[in-house]
This record gives sequence, structure tokens and C-alpha cells, in this order.
Amino acid sequence: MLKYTLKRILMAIPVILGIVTIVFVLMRVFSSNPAYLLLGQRASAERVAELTSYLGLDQPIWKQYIIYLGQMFQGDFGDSLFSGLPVMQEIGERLPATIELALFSVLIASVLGVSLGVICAVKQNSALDRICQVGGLVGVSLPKFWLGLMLIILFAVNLGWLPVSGRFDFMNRPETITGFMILDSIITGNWAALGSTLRYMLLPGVSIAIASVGTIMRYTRSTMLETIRQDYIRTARAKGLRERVVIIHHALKNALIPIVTVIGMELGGLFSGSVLVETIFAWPGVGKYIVDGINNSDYAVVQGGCVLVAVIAVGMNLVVDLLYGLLDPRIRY
Amino acid sequence: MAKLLEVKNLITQFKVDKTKIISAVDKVSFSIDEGETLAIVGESGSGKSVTALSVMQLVPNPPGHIEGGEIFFQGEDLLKMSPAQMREVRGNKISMIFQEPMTSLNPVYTIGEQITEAIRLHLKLSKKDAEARAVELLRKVEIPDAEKRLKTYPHQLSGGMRQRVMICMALSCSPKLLIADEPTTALDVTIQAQILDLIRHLRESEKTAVMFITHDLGVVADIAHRAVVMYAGNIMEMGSVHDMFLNPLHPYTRGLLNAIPKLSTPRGEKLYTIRGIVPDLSNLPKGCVFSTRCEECMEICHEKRPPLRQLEDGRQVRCFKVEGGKVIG
Repeated sequence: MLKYTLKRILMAIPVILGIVTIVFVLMRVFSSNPAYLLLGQRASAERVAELTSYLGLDQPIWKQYIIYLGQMFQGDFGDSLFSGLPVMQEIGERLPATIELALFSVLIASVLGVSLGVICAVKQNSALDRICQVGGLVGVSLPKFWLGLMLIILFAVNLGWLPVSGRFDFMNRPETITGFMILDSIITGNWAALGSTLRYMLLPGVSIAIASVGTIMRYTRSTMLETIRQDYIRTARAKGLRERVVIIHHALKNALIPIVTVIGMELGGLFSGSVLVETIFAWPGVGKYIVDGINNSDYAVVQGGCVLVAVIAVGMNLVVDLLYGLLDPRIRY
Repeated sequence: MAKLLEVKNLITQFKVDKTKIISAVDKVSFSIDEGETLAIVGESGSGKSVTALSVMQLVPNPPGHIEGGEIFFQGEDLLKMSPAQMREVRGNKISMIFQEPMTSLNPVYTIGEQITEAIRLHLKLSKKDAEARAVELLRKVEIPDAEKRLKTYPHQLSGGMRQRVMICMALSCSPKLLIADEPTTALDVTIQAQILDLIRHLRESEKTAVMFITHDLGVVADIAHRAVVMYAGNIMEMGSVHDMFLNPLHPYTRGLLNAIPKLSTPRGEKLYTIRGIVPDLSNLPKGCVFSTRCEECMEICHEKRPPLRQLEDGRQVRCFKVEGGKVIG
């Protein structure tokens, strides 16, 4: 298992290097010179040339690349041009917000998706099944940002039940220990803050989760339908087990293997794909940070952010593969 | 001897599409005495497995359902029982082993977990006691290293071993009736003989009645007291195995017996087969269901469906050609 994990981590290195290279080249080829943005429209050509040279952007691209790689291997991803702070520090501050939101949405999506999928499979072709199928399709097709806006209009503006945007309310903020606000509230026993945090998280969480609910539900349904027809399910029934035990204990555990793959892929997608939702809800996460970086031609920010997203995606894949081993005794590493 | 199971006029139907319904089992009646072994014989599609699944009420629904009849077990009609009552019977008083040992065990649970599940459910034993019983049962079905085996997964065992585990699971609550649905079909010949020996041995030591479903008449002669020959959802002949092998009455039974290859068959001679194939259940002939394949078919066989008649010696046969226990013509 350890050997397998190490092997997989080593195999991830070329993948991440590839991503670094692509992002590095694209940023330099397609975005404007950040010196213009920093100095403003009226800056003289001399000042721009001076700053460009100071930033090292007048060097040939391959030279810049080698310098960047050299620094990256020493753990230095550069500083943001605009804040002047190290990129990794800034990402570190924003990462908990993104992870917390992604985990929260994937939790909603998995619980709803798996349970609805199981119910649909058991009651195949019933009215409920049909409604869920159509609902799932709608959920997958709705653009997340549009759904986010609609939820804000309905629940925050018209009904006033939930906050419009942001991550916390200044009156009810837990002391920062881990940066994960739910965790911090629980550690400090600040239940008012926990309630408030969850209220802030609900709308962005749901907007992200809806599409995943559809995907997970449809996948669970089809895998369960296949599993329920297996011979060992008949054996379980022949033992005199309750139908609930047969479905959850015997069928679902077998069906979980492919379902976990989908959930893992969804989670990987949520980390990188929640950019628009973070922007709409003013959620101080990594997605928004990268988008701002792209708009500002802030090379170091975009590069650092993309490396991080790549590492998370590769890591999620590894976690999913290791989970297989736990779920299926036929798979051993 | 007291009747343990009595099936009366059982009809089990399957919905093929919106308008088409077929009867896989059509008014079948038979009984099994306590401790007796009854073989149900027939080709694929004759309704023998569906009969067994109907007794257990495990016919996949939809598309199948039990349309009519009664199934008395120890005097109580299983078809009138609530789902909870029926669960008390399944795996406890009546248990079943299936044709496919490779796929009938759940791949994600250990053998131990799967055997103890029914024991804990029906006998209300603690986990430890259930495991002790499982070890004892594994020894009974002659699985070596029983304690170690409890922790193995199905994929770590061979087909023969898995079928032993299935038998072990089926016997775990000392059932009154064991339904064995072609338990040896998927196994090779030496393992087949071992499994049959095991079932025979356990039947004697546990006094369990057995409903043995097979298409192999050799196995029937080996293990059963009485046999039912089924064809297209109908019983064609029923009687003691001794009588049936010595003096088969129905042309179908005779055909099946003739189809067994013999060592004395001269080299190069073609083996006997019953001509044609099992008819489509949704399009059965108007007369005798076997009339399309029968070599001794008469005029009347195409017109009228022969009734299942009881003969003086207790045998039953569904054929116009049988009069007073003899084949005429």
C-alpha cells in the first residue's frame, strides 16, 4: 500500500510539471504585460521598460521558465504583483474556504444523490423514479452561476432567510485556529458561530451541489439496478434478511465502488470548478483568487493556483483509488 | 409419513410485454414428505427453477408473480403469510442453494460474515456463538482449516469450495427443507460427485427433506426417492425414481432416458436426441404441450390437452397413450 502510494506520487510529478509548463507558456503568450497594469495608462515607455526588466519579463521565455522551475523546487512560487505577498501564503489563507465549501457541497451531493439513487433503483419506473430522473437532468443542465443568482433572489432577497453573500458575519465569527470555520466553531464551542457559518454556506453549497446531485443520483441508480439483479442479492433474500438490509448492506456496499469514483471526480471538479460560484457569492476562496490573478495578469498567482488545483485533482484520484482497496477485498495494493 | 410441503395448483406467470403474459409454471401440484428427496427434472425453461423460487417467494417481481395456487408448508399456506412471516421461513425452515456458486456469494463480505448472518438472525445467537457454529458447519461440509476460512473472501475460494460454503449457509439453521437448484451444474464431474455425496450425507444426518432440481437424470437416480418430470411449465410424469427408470411411461421421460449416453453405445453411432426444441411458452400448442416433439403423437394429442392422471400404483402421468399403468399402442 505504501509502495503503491509512493509510486503514484512519483507518477504525478510529470503530470504536474506538464501543467506548470502549459500554464506558464499560455500566461506569457496570451496575457498582457503586467507592467502596464501596474503603472497605469499614462506611464512612459521608459518606466514600463524599466519595470519589465525589473520583473525579469524582458528575458527569453525559456530563461524565465528555468528560473521559475528552480524557485518552485525550492518551494518558492513567487509573490503576487499586486499585494506583494508570497503566493503560497495567500493561497494558504484562501484554501480553507474553498476546501470547506467543496466538502460541504460534496457532502450534500453525496447524501442526496446516493439516497435518491438507491430509492429510484428500488422503486424503478415509479412516479418518484421518473420525477427524480427528470429533476436530475434539469440539475445537471442548470448553469451553476444562474442557479446561484436565482437562489440569492429567492432565499436572500425575497424571503430574507439566508445571507446574500460572504463567508461569515462579523458578530459571529469563530476564533481562527485551522481556518475551517465549521471546525473552528466546534473546537471553540461557539455554537452561534457554527449556525451562522452554516447559514452562509448553504446557498453557495447548494448551487454547487445541485449538478453533482444529478450526476451522483443517476450513477447510483444505474449501478444499483445492476447490483440488485446479482445472484448474491437473491442469496441474501433467501436467508430471510429484511429488504432494507439486503439493499443497504448487500447491494449498496457492492455498488459503492463505482459511486465513489464518481464522487471523487465530482470533488476534484468542485475544487477547480467553483470559480463562478465563489465570485457570485463573494466567497473568499482560491477560485476567486485565480480569476482575479488572470484579470490582473498576475503570473505568479495564476501559476501557483493552477499547480495547487492540479495537485488536488491528482491527490483526489489517488484517494479514490486507495478507497477501492477498502471497499473491495478483491483489490489489494 | 407426514407431508412437509404440499404445492397445489401453483401458477406462476411472467409478464413478457404490455399485453403478453406467459405461465412458466402452470397448475403444478406435488408434495414432499419429511426427510424425503424429490427431484424435479426437465430441460431449460421447463419451469423447475421457477417452481423452486415460487416456494421461496423469490420470483423476481416484476416481471414475475404467483398467480394462483397454494403452497402448504407444515400445514400453513406460505402464500397467505405476511412478508415478515415469510422471512422467518426463508433461510430458517426452508433454505436454498443455487446453481452458480461463483456469483451467489457476496464478493465484499467474508465467508464468516455471510454464514453467521443467517445464524444470528434466526437463531438469535451472539456473534461469538454464531462464529463457533459457523466453524462447526464448515467442518461438516468438509472445508479444511475452518477457523481460517471464516476470514477469507469468496474470490479466494474455488467453485467447489464456494458451493460447500453455500451448502453450509443453507444448513446453518437446520432447515426442514433444502431446495437445491442445480447445485452441481456449474461444477466439474469429480467435484459434482463430492457435492452430491455431501448433500446425501447431510440429508441423512440432519433429517432434512430435499427438493433437488436438475436436468441430469444420472444425478436423479443417484440421490432422489421420487421424481417429477416437468415440461413447458407442466408436470408430465411423477413417481418413484425406481419405477420411472425401470418403466418410464411418458414419451418425454423415455426420450430423456434414451438421451443419456451409454458406455455400450457402439463407437461412431449418433447419440439419441429428442427432436425439436422446447416450445415458446407464449405460443404453446393447443393440445398436449409435448405434441410438437413427440414421436408417438396421435390425432387426439393435437386436439386436446391430456389431463394429469393418477394411476393405481400412485404414479401420475399426463399422456393419452397410458392406460392402466401401461403404454398402449
